[in-house]
Amino acid sequence: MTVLTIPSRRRDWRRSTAVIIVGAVVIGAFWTVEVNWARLAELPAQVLHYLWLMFSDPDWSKVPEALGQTWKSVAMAWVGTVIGILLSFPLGFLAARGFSPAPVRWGMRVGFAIIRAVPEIIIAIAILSVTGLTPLTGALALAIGSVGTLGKWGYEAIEGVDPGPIEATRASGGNIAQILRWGVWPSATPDFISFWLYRFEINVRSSAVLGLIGVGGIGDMLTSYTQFREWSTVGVLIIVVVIVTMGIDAVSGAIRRRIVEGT
Amino acid sequence: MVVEHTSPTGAASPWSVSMRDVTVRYASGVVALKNVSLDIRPGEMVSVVGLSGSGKSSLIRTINGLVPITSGSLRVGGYHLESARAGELRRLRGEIGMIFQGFNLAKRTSVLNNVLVGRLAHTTTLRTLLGAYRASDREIAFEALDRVGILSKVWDRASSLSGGQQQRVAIARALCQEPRLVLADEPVASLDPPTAHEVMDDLRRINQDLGITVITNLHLIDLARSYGTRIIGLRAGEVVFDGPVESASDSVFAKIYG
Repeated sequence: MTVLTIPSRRRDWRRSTAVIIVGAVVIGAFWTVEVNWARLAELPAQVLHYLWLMFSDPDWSKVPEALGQTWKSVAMAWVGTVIGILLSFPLGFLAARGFSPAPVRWGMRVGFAIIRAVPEIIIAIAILSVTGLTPLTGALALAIGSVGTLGKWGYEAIEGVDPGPIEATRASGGNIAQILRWGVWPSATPDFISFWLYRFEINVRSSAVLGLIGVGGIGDMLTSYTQFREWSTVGVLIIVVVIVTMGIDAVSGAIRRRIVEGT
Repeated sequence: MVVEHTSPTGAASPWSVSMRDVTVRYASGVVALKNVSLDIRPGEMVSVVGLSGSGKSSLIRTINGLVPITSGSLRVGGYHLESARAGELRRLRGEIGMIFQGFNLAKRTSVLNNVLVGRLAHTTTLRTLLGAYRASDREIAFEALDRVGILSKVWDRASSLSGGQQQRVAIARALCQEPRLVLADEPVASLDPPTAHEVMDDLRRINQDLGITVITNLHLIDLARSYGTRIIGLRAGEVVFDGPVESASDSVFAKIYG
């Protein structure tokens, strides 16, 4: 029997360092955040108490109003997504390698990154002074937020497409617009439609949160009833939000899967 | 749908290519072509042979300006490539069909849309963006498909076709340009031998029936012998052989392949 000479395993000091740093941050975080550990013990009882208040005797008479407000939220999400698509589509191309000069490209990318770093609710508060406490504010905030993610996904999809058709359209004398239309777009369509639907799902959830600042919709209604501690109505609202959101997620997700598989 | 046959595509006069001391150096520092001088006459069928990395791909791509030349002069048709502007390059490319090893079709769209890419330089940008091609452009596309024998697939998705069929669509795309010159970069390297011969036959017909100048990169000696009338051998970016097929003996190939 031959003796195997196993090469000695190299220790990667970068990996060890990373483990130590992450460990230190986690321990440090526990140390500095002042958590009242004693109250944590009361949490399960409290959760049960509020669940009981909300769901023991839901006020079903509020369902029509809740549905109406949810519709408003979904409409806000829809309008926001459509505006976001219209803005992000050309901007995404301007951020893609091979289709725009480096300064423009990096400007776009930094712009997208900044937008992604700011939560929609902060964007909404920022534009509130101009547009007022209206659903339009919510839609615009979602539109701006969508540009950050859709723009990034867009240029990544464009840069990732098969370069063959691009070379073929260029070789047949196509200009930039024609290369994008016939060299890039046919390969990137499923990605784009999938991103748009996914962002719509995200916006439906975000639109409920935006209600918290009073721009209307289901979130607005939820805040009011929570403030007045009308738990039986809050319970109904939560049920409606969860069902509607899950329904939209399911339908949109099914469409996305069909698009991605049907390639 | 029946399309009446009009004059054969490619009625325009074929182009010549004239290279003088052409050198191509890439940004990476790699020298792909060294002082290459060639004259290709209108209507010739030329095979360019050499090992991979010998500069065949670069040579063929200098002709339609996909690869810019570093020094020397290159004249294709009436265009001077060493000084051509972007707009001129697009017009030049509009007259030159190109066929690739990997077919380079937009797989998720129809065969017709792929063939109509050949009309991009010959119609307005707005029409091409909307896919609203003129009836005359569509007719050219149908004729091109018919010429390579796959008109029946016109509405199919490109991805549903076999490799040989996809390469025929790519040839139809090139024909749809009504080209004066066709460049083929390893057109049969991804195909099985019988299909390879069918595709090479198509290219030969383009040359013989339409009189279009055809320049084909090949790495297989027997294909180059059966389908070219003239062979150009490249080795490490330099022309090491240039002559009629008859004079390309085994010792010549040994020299090319080293």
